[in-house]
Amino acid sequence: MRQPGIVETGIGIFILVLLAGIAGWVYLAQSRFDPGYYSLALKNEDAGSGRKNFLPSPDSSPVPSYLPETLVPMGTAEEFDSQTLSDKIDGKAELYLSSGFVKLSTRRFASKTDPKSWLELFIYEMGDPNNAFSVYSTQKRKDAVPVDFLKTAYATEDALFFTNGAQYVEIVSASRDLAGDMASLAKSLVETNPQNVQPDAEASLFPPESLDESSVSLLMSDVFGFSGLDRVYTARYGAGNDQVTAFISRRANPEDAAALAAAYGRFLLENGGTEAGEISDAPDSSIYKVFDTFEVVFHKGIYFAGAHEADRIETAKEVAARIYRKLAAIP
Amino acid sequence: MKITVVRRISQIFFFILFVWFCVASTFGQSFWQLRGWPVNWFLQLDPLVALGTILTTGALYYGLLWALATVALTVLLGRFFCGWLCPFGSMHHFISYLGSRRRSIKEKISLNRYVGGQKIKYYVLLVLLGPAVAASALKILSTVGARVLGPATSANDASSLFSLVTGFLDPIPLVYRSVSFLLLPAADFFGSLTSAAHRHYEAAWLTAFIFFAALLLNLAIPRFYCRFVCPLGALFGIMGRFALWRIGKKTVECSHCSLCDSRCEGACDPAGRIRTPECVLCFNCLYACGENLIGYNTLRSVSGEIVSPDMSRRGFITASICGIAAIPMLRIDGKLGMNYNPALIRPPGSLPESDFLDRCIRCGQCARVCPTNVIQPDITRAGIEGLWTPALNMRTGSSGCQMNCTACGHICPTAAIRPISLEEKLGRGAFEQSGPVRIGTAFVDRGRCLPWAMDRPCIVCQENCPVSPKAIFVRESFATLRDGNLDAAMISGNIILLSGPFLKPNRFDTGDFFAALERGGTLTRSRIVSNSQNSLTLESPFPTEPTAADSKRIVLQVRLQSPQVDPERCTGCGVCEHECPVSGLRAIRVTAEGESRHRNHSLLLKKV
Amino acid sequence: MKEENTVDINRRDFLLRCTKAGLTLGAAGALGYFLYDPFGPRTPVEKSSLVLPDFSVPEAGKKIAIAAGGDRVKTVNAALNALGGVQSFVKKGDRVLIKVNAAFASPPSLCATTNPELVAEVARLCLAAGAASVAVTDNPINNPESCFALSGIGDAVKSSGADLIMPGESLFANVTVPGSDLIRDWPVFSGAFKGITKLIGIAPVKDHHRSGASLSMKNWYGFIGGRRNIFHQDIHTFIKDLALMVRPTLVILDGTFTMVSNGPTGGSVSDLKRTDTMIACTDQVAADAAAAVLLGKKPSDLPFIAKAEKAGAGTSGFEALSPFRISTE
Repeated sequence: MRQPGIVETGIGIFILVLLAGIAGWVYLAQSRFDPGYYSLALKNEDAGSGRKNFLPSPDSSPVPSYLPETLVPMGTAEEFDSQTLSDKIDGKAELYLSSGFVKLSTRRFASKTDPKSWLELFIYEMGDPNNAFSVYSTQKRKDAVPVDFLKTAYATEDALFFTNGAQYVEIVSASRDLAGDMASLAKSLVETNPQNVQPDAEASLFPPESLDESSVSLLMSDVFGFSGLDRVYTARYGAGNDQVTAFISRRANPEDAAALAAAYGRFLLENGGTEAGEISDAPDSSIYKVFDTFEVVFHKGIYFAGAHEADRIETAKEVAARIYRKLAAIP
Repeated sequence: MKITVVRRISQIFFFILFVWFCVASTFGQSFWQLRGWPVNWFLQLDPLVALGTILTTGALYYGLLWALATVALTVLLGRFFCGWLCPFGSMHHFISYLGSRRRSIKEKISLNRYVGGQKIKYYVLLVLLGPAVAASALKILSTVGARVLGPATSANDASSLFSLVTGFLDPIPLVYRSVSFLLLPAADFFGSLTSAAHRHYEAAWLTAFIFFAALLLNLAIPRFYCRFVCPLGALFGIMGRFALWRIGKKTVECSHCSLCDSRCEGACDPAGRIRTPECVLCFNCLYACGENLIGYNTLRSVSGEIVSPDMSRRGFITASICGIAAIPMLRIDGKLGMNYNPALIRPPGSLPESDFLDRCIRCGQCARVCPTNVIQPDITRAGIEGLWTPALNMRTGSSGCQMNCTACGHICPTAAIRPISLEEKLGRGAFEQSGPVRIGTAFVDRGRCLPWAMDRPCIVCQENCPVSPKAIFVRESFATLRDGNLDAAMISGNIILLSGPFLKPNRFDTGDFFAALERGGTLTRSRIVSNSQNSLTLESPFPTEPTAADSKRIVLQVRLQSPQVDPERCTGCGVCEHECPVSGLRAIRVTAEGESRHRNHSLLLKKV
Repeated sequence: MKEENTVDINRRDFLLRCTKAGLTLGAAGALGYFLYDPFGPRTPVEKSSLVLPDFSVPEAGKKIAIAAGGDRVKTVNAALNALGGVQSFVKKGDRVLIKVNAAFASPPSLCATTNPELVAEVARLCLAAGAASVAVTDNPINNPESCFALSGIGDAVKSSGADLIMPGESLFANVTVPGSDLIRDWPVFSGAFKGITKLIGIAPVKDHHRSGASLSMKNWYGFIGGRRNIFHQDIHTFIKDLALMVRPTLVILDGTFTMVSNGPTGGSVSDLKRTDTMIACTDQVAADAAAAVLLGKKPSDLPFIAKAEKAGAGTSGFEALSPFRISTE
């Protein structure tokens, strides 16, 4: 009967060590792939072939500089212009297209620790800060929570919305636990791309008393149903039954402001309104009763302003008067 | 430690490694998914793949360099691969062991005797490698001929006559595809082990038949496949003739008890003139021999060796001619030319068909890794030569060929599917001029499409088209419904009252239906918001209400958006076909016209 | 003693085996090294451009001759003589290629193909001028054997002592014509040009549904292979590309009977109008411009003429070339 000699045993052990080595090599090989999984680094790209790892490379966009450490890219960056915007956001495109939309860039990112948690970043280039503020303010969600680390911003349960100069940015996450990541992404985005251009200061013209600050909006066109009204800042005053929406719009010159006030007045009359007086402080002002609400319309200097759909005439007059005094105080 | 113990450990090790690689050939980045696992390693170690592709393409592709290691060890040691490494061989070994457990020593000895049939595998090797050799010879001849006689014929002709068919019976691709297409999906029946959704593979019956037949035949004769069929074993047998160490008897004093035969895996007759090409280095005979006569020595066996395969010259020539003639004969059907099968859609990045068939070893890795399970082993489209080559079936899987995925090209071990970058696939960046890689074009079957043929609104295909701008656009039209001509009793504002309960309640509230009035030759429409049995509520009243004298005939219409394909944008990804609600024979189907890899299948002029 | 021998034999055998094994490994290693290809197949790139030689004879000048008459042999001789005679174009030892229109298997009476008498006469003239060989070719739309046979061109070639070049797969090569929009990496009948020094195109004047007219520039379509119908999608640009690809010595347009309707196949003699004209010209664009009137059209009605002129293939202002107008009646 054969007995395994020392040579045979030695060879056997050598082979076993070799097998262990193979196992080790295989284990090491599995971790050697591009860490983000999705960034492409192929040689000879112009020749159309490539090899860095066995992995398919479904992505060719570089990692953006504003990406925080906790997130990795998940897919390519996509861009949409005015022709293709509806491919991405379908019916909502109308709103942006009528507000000076230029370009939309989107990209998805996933959490490094949990790839199943991901979010999508939408950056809308709106051309100028007023447009950005407009689409931001008119889309404010009901359950908006103000955000302290950014100026014009609010958060909802799973998303973050803000403006950055002429950009309107939305970060929408697929799960609830990415609030921290969204915040750092937003901060980082603003830091790497600081915009010194601010929207016009009409918003600050609203008298602060009983003003609901989060309700300041900029409506770009067809405001209040009247085609002649565009670029109107609105804000809500009061609460409950005693609410009124105040509005201010800067026009090119005092003549335009006066003409617009007159035109809007005529529009209200044509549509079932009746004259209901004027404001004592403001010359050439009119109050209209339209069905069961009250409308105050006046102009001062280059500003066209007033109160809209007030339930009580007193509230309307009072707010309108305050606005008038503030406008009058401008040198 | 007995060397046989080490051998068993090695077989188990490589078998587990192989199964792990099969499991890990899944698109993803979890630990058990693709990542950087060298999942093709066994295919790269296979010298038949390397040799075959060298012959048909004149190049040794990337990872196939591993084959040199196998060749080196085989030349030095003999058929170690068969006995220590080959996962298919390990399966055969195990099943043979199970089958032999109840057998007597005498039975075992007689089953392990060398049989003449063992030369069949050499003929198999000749038949399978013949076309590749002929391709190579023809290429060399035409290059030489061109140099000597001047430029005459194009060298293209050579490669279109032959292809690489070793993949049919080469055990490594065979076992890869059998595990990928049969065992792993079967395991998924018991809970989604390797993928979230059940994966489906065509030609399952053929794959199963061959795989299980090979395994079950081990119950009749041990290591049946290895001894009789395996062309890779045959190749190793030829390569190992100069092995520095070989199994053999150390002394002449042998009692001829044949105990060595009772455990011999290769049926190589170790007690007599050992047939070295058959020996798979299982080392069982060293320990089966009661008298310790057999060793692994630098000296040849004292009772002699037979080093050459047992082929007759006639057999050699017949097998060679069969192999060389087979493929050109098959090519007479013109399937590579004008008679191409439009149902054959190859994965994106595939080479033109004759180059593709020169490289595809039918390992099934592309079908295995495809995240949408749309790549299928072909059985019906590419003829017998195309068996198990990848073809896309848009109806299977989850969504057609994913736009941002290039997995198949990167996993193909022989580059039959080129590893293209995403930029090239999408036609961006440097590839803006040449446009995206197209695998076919979608064609709307207007006789089956719901809006075209059946007045039913549906734009699922357009909605799902992934390219931007979309390759499917719609033409709007209005069609009058069957039974759509009604007489209204009264039309007032936006309510139309009918003279009877003609309608099915709430049938028309989807927003696709319109009521129309004809006035002076023009039709004015208003969308229907809802309806009851005898009334219709419109979204807005008709612009001019009919007077009492006017006819109160209204026409019910449905707004149809009928899809059309834009061939300049369509890449043939097949999502539309997959999503089409006409689930049997789809109303929009992708066929191979327009595929980038064949310029002469193009639908369009390409302008630079 | 015996044992020593055995040991020696064994050692020798072992060393021999070592050597053989080493050589095998060396060969395998070398094969692997030289054939190693880390990148695999690349994106298909366009093959290098083919430039067909310029077959024009500048010394013979830029001329156009328009001969009137009903006998093709007479008119072609008159036209060629007006240009200076065949001998000013074809010299001794030249190998001439005549590109005819044999696209359809129609009888000569329908004038959808080049008239066989005309082919025979031109071939004869070239041989008489000292050409070493004259070859006639086309890549027909219908089956080549029947086209050359039924159009009578096959017999004409044989009887005049010229050679017929039948299209075959081995004579086509993928070509990119520099400066063209559409002829990129496309099979072209380049094999027919092997050894050729002069090129003459002979085409009938025909109406064409797609392009408006089929004249001398469109005649070169017969050098294109593959699934060439696709180019009908942009036919005028393609004709311009053809004019860029081929620069002939001479073109001859046979307007004895012009196919004025239902071109290019015609199908009935009622599609023909007797116009008794033969045009010979060194400039293919000018020739086509001059032939337009036979179809009742102006050169401006044929967009490919302007495109070809703009691309530099010739001039459409044929009157400026001082056409020789001869009558053979």
